[in-house]
Amino acid sequence: MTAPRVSTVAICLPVLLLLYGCTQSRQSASHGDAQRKAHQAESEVPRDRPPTAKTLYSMAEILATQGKDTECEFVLRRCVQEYPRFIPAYNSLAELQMRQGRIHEAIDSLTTALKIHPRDPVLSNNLGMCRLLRKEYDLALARFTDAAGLVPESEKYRANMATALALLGRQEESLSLLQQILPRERAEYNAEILRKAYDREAHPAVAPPPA
Amino acid sequence: MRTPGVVAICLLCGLMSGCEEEARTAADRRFDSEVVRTVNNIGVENAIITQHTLYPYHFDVDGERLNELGQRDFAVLARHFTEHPGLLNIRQDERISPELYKARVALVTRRLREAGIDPARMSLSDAMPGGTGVRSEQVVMILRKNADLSAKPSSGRTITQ
Repeated sequence: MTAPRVSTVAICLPVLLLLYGCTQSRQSASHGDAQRKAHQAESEVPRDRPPTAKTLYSMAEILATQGKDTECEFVLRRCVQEYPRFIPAYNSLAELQMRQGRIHEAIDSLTTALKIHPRDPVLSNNLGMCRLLRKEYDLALARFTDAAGLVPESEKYRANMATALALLGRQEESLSLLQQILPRERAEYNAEILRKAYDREAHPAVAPPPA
Repeated sequence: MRTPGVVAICLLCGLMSGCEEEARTAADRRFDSEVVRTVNNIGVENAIITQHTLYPYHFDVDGERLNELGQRDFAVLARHFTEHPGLLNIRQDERISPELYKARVALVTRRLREAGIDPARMSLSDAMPGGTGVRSEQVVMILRKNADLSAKPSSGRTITQ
């Protein structure tokens, strides 16, 4: 082999290797999320040790994706019992309970978590949502205000505050919050919808007497 | 030999930067979310300054103290008023007793002073963010004035071609 050929081969070889490396990383990135989590869950657990909080949580997420709510709840409860300081599990558990209409249990889950992490805005917001579903608007407002105080730039928490305020009949305050996060016209449109919702609750239409 | 060598080196450099690109995505994502947060923050802060109003939801329920959100929004206003003193509204509604309202005003005045703002250069009121609005008598007066002006012949030369 001549000298120029050797040098060309020497340059081409690393190029090919690099190409192979890049393809590999792209292939691994293209795997499905659930599959990746499952692999991660498997690889994280040594055979002789109990599963970590992250493993249990990943497992619960996979089960939730598959629609296996009962199994998912079982894993989340185990996660909460074994790792009481692992907050995401409480949120997922409460979300599942809310989805099934078990609002009271969701409130219990979130209240327990808030005792451990009182300054978690997501927990506060989710608890506010539970209160809103139970039409306990003043309690909902208190939780949304806590969340907005912790993350003042969050439009979501201010919007939730606006909803609770409107349903309490405090329309002016509700509109002021909506105007902070929405263009004027959209803020007024949303405020009007909320006002109508309040009116419907405050003055329910009287059903006509049976004939 | 030179041409294939240069081509190969260019390819190598291109590939290396391509691989680096993937490694940077996590940092980029963090940066992007920070940018979004900052933009949101600026938007909300501008709205708070435009409204220059403290609402009942900024205070503890049935209390004179500002809650956490109230303290954050007040800090935005205080920063603005340090350079541009002006009007600050503290809203009162029928659920708030006059005594409680007075206590809230006193607290806000004290907090303004603590923030280095001279309360004498500030004006506190119970108005709405857009002001109190024009009263109907004033509208009648304005209409009458306009009617008087239109009745009089306008002074000055008439422009002709």
